[in-house]
Amino acid sequence: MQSAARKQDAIPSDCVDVRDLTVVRGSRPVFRGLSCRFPLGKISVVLGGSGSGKSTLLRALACLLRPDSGEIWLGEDTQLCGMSERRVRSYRERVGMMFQGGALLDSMTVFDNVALPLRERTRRSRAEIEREVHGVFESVGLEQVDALLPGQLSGGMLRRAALARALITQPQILLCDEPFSGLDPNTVRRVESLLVDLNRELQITMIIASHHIASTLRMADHVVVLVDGSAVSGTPEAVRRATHPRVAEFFVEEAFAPDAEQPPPDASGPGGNPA
Amino acid sequence: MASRALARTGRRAVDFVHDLGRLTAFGMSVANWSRRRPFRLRRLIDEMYDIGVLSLAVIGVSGVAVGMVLGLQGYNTLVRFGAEESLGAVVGLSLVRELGPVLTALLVAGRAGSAIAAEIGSMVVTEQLDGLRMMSIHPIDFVVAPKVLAMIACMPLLSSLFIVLGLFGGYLVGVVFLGVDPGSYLTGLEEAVEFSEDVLGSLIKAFVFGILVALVATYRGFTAAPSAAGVSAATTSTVVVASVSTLIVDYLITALWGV
Amino acid sequence: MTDSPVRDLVVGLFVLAGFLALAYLSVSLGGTTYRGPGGLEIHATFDQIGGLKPRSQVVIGGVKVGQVTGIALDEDLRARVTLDIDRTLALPSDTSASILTSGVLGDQYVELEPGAEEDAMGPGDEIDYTQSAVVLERLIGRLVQNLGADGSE
Repeated sequence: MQSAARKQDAIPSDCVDVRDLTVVRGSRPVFRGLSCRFPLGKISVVLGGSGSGKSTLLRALACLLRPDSGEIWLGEDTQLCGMSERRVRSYRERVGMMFQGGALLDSMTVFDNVALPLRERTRRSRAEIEREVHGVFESVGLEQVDALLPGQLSGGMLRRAALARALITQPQILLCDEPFSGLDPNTVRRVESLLVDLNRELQITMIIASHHIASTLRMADHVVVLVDGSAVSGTPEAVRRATHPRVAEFFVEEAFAPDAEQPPPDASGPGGNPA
Repeated sequence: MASRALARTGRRAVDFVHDLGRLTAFGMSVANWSRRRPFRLRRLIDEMYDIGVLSLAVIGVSGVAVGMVLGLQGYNTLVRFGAEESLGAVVGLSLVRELGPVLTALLVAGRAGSAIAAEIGSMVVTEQLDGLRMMSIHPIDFVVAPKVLAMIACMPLLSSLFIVLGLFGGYLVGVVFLGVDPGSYLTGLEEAVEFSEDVLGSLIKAFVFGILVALVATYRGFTAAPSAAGVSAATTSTVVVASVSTLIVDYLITALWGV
Repeated sequence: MTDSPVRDLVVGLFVLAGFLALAYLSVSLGGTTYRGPGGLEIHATFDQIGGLKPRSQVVIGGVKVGQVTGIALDEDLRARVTLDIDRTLALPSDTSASILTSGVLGDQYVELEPGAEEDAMGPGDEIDYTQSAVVLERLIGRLVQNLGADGSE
């Protein structure tokens, strides 16, 4: 368990290394000097209440925003912050992102949405694309959705479709923004085991932003808790026994209801981190 | 109090110049992406459906109505001088030179411009544009450029339809209801309207207004704050800014080129 | 992305309708096309052309046969008008031209009155017999003067 900056350390080759990250939105810093690591090939969960900067961290990892300062190292030769447009493109070949609301284009069918990256970035034939898309649909457990529009899908199916689109390019790193929010307990379980299976089979590095404690404890190899703009990280067990008062507070709810699939603690919940 | 008002005015002015600069940069980017391969014909056709075909009803009804009003007003004025055979010229010139392109631009800004701003704005809110970025597809290339091109293509066509329907409306009132001689209506029309000055100028106006409305709408949507309030603000400001700047640019074109 | 033939058809119809409207405006109203057959260019020199303009009509007995294509001053500072006329017409060489007004305040046009000669006019020929435009203000001015003169008598 570490909690502060490790400034002069060598860059590790087995994890994504976030160093001294500062992001300021307007006049308010989302976090200042955040440092944490995400081991490659493992499932890492970023926990934190609303407004704690989970999504911001994920967006920084996806190069969707430029941090005001700090570095994110992916091995020794890739530093994500402030990369050129061209290098961002080649980095994104290796990264998939599953957005909170799915972020599928709602004017196109689910099939076209998932096929889009292949049509745009590869020269594969129609038949090949169709085969690959259906392959991915099968692996995420989607059936007969080809001609539907994203708006016609249920919440769970929408997450699967979003996952399918993130996976179609066979990324090495998968970023998931709140994959469980707004889902019923059974669906949470299903999406969760889907992610775990993908990680075990394909060794995809997963970085999941979530405030769903129960699923985190079940699936995470590594947990990063964002509190007050800094990170407390370690194995789920280690983090759970943390002495940091705000971190402990975060797990209170879970202690009361060890296995219940409660709605995630939001700002008003006991474990939340009111903004 | 006064100094605060002054400061606010100053800040507004600076914001305006900022906005103008960003809009220009945005326009350059759109122009740049529009030239690149592949040419997205499929997207273009879909957007032309949304912008052109779906605006047809409002353009058609307004065109006929405006033509009828022109016919009535023109007749009432001209008949005092016993010059009602010039009705065709009055209706034709007003429609071709000003009312056709300007009213079409205003109606399209209200009908399609607001829809474009709302659509792109909600794509910002639901992270659809970020989703595209993650697939290394530039949102301007995939979303904005086809809309802008479709708008530029549709505006002169819609404006021409508006004018023709307006002429029909004027004919209806002047000739059918009020008994102006059909021959003199059509001859007046044909003799008054010149191709190189009037029709070409009308097309240039429609073309420029198309660029204007399309850029304002897509820019407002693109830069909308990621919230429901942000989208509605973008929609409102699209209609206001596009309409007002259309009228200002119309004056400038008329004054500079004498169209 | 999704192919939809109906939508394509509708967009196609819309574009077609738009271009038809455009064609009507530029061809029929703008007058880019119909100028009659034309092809025979002749000249006529007048003392006074009044409000004659390029594209004004040229008629024979009220039938349109061509239009004015150019107006310039010749070396004697008289108005030299170029007419473009249907080349299938065999205009006698002593044809005369006058500038008339349609109605009291209407447009001015050129009326040709065929003569009796056997020879036909060729391209670039000059009409020798011309009658200038009547300028209403001058006419009224002269009328007023005459009336004044009558009154003083």
